[in-house]
Amino acid sequence: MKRADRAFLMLLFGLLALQLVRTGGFGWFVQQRMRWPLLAAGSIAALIGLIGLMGRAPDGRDADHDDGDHHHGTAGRAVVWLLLVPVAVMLAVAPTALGSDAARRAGIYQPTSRLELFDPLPAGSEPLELTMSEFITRALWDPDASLTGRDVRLEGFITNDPRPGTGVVLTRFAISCCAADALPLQVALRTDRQLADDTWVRVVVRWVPAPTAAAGSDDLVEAHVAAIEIVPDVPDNPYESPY
Amino acid sequence: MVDTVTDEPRHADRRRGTSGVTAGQVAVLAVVVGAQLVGRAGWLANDELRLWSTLFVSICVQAFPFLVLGVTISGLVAAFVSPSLVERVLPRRSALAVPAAGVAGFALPGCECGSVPISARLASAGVPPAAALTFLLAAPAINPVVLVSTAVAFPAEPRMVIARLVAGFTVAVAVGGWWAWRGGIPLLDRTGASAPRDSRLQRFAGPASHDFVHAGGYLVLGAAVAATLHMLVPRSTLESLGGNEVLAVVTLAIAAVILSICSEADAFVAAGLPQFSLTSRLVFLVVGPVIDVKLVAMQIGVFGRRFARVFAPVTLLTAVAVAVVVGQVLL
Repeated sequence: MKRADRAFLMLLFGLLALQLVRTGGFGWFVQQRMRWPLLAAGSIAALIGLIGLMGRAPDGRDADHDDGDHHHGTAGRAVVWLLLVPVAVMLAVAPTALGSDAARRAGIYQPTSRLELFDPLPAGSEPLELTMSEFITRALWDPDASLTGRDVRLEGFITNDPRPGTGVVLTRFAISCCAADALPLQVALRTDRQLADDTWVRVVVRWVPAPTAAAGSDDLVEAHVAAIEIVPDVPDNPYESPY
Repeated sequence: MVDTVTDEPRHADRRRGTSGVTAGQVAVLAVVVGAQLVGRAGWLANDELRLWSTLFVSICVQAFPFLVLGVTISGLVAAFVSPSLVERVLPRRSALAVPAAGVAGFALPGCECGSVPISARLASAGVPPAAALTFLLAAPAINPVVLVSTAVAFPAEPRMVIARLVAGFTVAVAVGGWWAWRGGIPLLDRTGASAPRDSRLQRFAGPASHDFVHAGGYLVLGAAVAATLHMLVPRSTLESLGGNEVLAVVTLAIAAVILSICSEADAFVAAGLPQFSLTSRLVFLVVGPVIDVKLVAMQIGVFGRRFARVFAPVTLLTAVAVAVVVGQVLL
């Protein structure tokens, strides 16, 4: 690979990273906190690429074929072109945030108990804004059953029957590193509404205390639905943190 | 080269240097445009392919900033660190250089993607190979970002942070020390991508781009394998293996090698496997940063196949053994 090609690839990746940040699309793959690292890395990569493109090609025998790669061997020289794969995949397949497909494959996950999540909830009758993780953890583990009788606002997408008999399930993925280690947070909704898989919704629900949905069992936490609002598109920030 | 009578030769040099678009660049542009067209037409709108693509792209995006950080530093090493400087700063004898490199690894944040190019540059800049390898193993395992994330992931078990630090440092120094004592397989020098007459800016950018595309290529390979395995091995299978202690250690060691998760975030994945003992999860956290599918691929690319054939199993066994011992003692 010529030096000019390497520099060009570097510039391309830099620009792609900057584009992912500009559109917010990075949020479908990694955590929000990667925004600034991606911005910085994209800028630096683009800069390094530009510097390389402005440089002189090496003189003499290197100028006409691969330079700097002599010691890599054929496979080593070919592997660099693999860099085009993520670019091609992103553009040609246009992957989106994880959805009901991934939820069905992922199986059941229960958040572990965390004491700091059991601080008293704010008093009042306004619906509480909670993350799925907090809602489920309180439902399973809170010894004071602080969710009883409280309206809670949650956001996620619909998965129908992730396991037979579970019904309409509100799902949201918690990611710690990136979408590759996502864990599905799921709440079974008691509602008559028919909603298609992958519909993003904002709901107001009330927890249904159920002895079977205890920690360690396979059953989902259940909630009665008071209100459903359909969100038209996959949000830029579809994941939450596991805690 | 320089003709003092007329300026002609100089002009000729400049023209040859910025000589228009290369075939490679055209190929890249063709791929970009072609892929966009395919995307618009929706020919590849298949659910499984889309899911695989999300997993694959996510690993690439997550790793990208760390890769850039790594090659930036290795580019700076190439441009500014001459062998004489290195000789003056690092202890000359491997016996001292190895632990010193272990401590140096503590100072560099970033995941394993960057450590391979950096240690290659250090080796070619004159650092004893054993010390460069110690650094290679220590930097991803015990740097501040990793330790902080471990503390955050195990708030009820601060011992995990200490255990990880101790085990990581021990593995790095043990393998580095063994390498120094054994002598042996030279690190192939696959670095170098700048002509000596380049400006310092080019001596930085050239190696940085070179390292980026090579490390990046192998990262893509590893990400593709990891994404494919994520699709094939369901999480429930993983969890049902957690009951038996020996099986748990073996399973998590294999998982760490296969999943190739960035070391600054693998603590959160480990925290999400409560069915496994702390010791087996420590194994996961100690093995992951020093040996996995992605790293092996990068090491083959940078240091050579012969190197990897010895280095990988030695590192894996040492990491498992040290983690189990540290786990029994501390956890």
